[in-house]
Amino acid sequence: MLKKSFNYDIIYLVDTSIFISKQFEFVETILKKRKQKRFRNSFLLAFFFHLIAFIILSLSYKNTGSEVAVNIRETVIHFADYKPMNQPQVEPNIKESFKNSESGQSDIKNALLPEKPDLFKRSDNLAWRDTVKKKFIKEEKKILEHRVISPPKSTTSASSKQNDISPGLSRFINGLIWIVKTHWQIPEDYYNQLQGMSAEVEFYIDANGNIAYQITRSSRSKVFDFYFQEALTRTLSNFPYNNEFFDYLNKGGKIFIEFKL
Amino acid sequence: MKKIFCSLLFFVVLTSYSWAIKITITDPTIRPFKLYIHPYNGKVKLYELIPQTFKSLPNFQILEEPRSVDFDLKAEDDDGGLKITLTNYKTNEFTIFKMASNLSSLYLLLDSIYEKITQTKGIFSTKIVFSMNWYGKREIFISDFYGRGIKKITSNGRDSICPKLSNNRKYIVYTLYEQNGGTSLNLINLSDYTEKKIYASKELLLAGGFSSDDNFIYFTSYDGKQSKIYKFALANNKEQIIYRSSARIASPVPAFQNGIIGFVSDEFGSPSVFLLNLDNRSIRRVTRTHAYATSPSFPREAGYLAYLAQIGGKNQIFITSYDNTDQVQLSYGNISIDDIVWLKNERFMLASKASDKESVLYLVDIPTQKYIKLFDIKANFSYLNAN
Repeated sequence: MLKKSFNYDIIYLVDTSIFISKQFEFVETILKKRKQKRFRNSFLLAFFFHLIAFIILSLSYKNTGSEVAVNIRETVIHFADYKPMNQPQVEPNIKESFKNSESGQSDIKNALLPEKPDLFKRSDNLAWRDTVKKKFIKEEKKILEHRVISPPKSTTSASSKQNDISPGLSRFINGLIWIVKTHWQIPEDYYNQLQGMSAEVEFYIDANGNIAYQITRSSRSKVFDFYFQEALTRTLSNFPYNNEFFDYLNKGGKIFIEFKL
Repeated sequence: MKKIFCSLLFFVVLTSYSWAIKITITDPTIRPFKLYIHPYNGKVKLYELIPQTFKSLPNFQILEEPRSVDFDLKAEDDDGGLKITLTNYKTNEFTIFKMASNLSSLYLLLDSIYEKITQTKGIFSTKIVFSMNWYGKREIFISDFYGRGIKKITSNGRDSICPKLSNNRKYIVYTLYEQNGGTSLNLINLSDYTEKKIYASKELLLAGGFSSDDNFIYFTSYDGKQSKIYKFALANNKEQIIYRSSARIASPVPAFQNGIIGFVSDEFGSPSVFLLNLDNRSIRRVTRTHAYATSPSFPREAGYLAYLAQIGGKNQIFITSYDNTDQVQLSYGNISIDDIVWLKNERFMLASKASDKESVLYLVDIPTQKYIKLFDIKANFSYLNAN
């Protein structure tokens, strides 16, 4: 019985080793096949991905290309798009006048000399522009002026308390300026014509307790007055409530805004 | 008592002022005019030019909806013509324009609308003249702004060049090559297209332009040795030499003020633009920085002029002050401009680009430096002039 069982065990062990070795073989082939399959799948995936990407890219490239070409050919050519430079084309302060060709000999030499761009001179800072830019050339953005007249120290304690502009109020006023400035829009042709005009408004609290404005100095131009009033109306329609600002006006403080071109 | 009152008043003013916060804002956002154009389903086909025109202008933005617009334009049929209502939303004013169904009325209408909106001069009724090849000889042509009605106004069978249009748009003066070898200046009356010879010479005459009052014509003559600039009085047909030089002179264009004439001369070897002061007959070179400069053109306001200068073999547009202390380059890139004319509205300029196969006319918007194509012709045209 024991022998029998021993034999059985041996057989069993042999069988197991065969079984295990066969299993290893099996696993190996499975892994091999899986590897092949993975390789094939990844290759196919990559191929299709690249194919799709190529089709999409080529189609989109074709579309944008034709649109641009049509725009350029048929409607507007933007020379400004090709603007490469910030180099001046001129030597300033040449005011010589002459009556005969003799004095012009040096001019021939000057004319034949190659143009040397002055790297230290900005082309947009030309004096000629100052005289005519208001008519033809869009101005550089002007710097926003914000002038707060601070109260003198020698006033009474009550008034000095009222006159102190807190950092919170100052921040709010800066925000207010930014909002008004955003809403103050003028068509370019009007901007050119209205140069030099100015008007002034004052903020106050109306009977309903809302912040309102009144014109204290008109520009005497209907168009000018309209556009800054539009900016103020838009500003006040979405005006964020600010305690300090409200208090300042309520206690008799005055806020003027001057609109100037 | 008075002193006390004054000092009290001063104190009160000072105190009230010291309470104030004063803010100055000088920086509005510059934007184009916002225009809404109502859809039109009428019979007048020419109407299509109205939205097309305003869409092409850089100082206009056409909105899809009538929200927050500056102006609103509505067209209706009216006795075979058009009735246009322009509403100004900012001032709540409206203006009604009526036009007959023809091109000249349409251009006048466009001018009126443009002037009403921008408060600057309209440019659409501008007449354009040029010289173009016609069966081997150059003839004079006149065109409207969009090139829809181009007319040939000479049939000389000989070269006709250099047409110049008067400021009142009634006359054209041009140079005709005579059969005997000389040239003549001919004046065409545009009301009936009659023509008369006003000056003839064996020299080469080149018409320059009319004076601002249209009473005089400036032209040059060149006999191979000497050039002269003439001032010709149309009232009595008398000419007067105002400048002479051993150099070759062309394009004497009068400025609109100050008795100044701009012309091109090769006095110093290569073509340059000069200014001639009619008071003291002195000349001054204004294009010192460019070796090859041509085509001077003046705006209505004194003080500066536009010209073409070669940069890398391409003609580019420049604007300079009379004293040449400053100048600005207006065009860049690969397109070479052949001729320019500054229009009555100083915002705009006409520029032409010509080749043997095709010539194109552009409207240049100076502030934005945009080039709007007006029309093209499958031929080579030259000597552009407009008024």
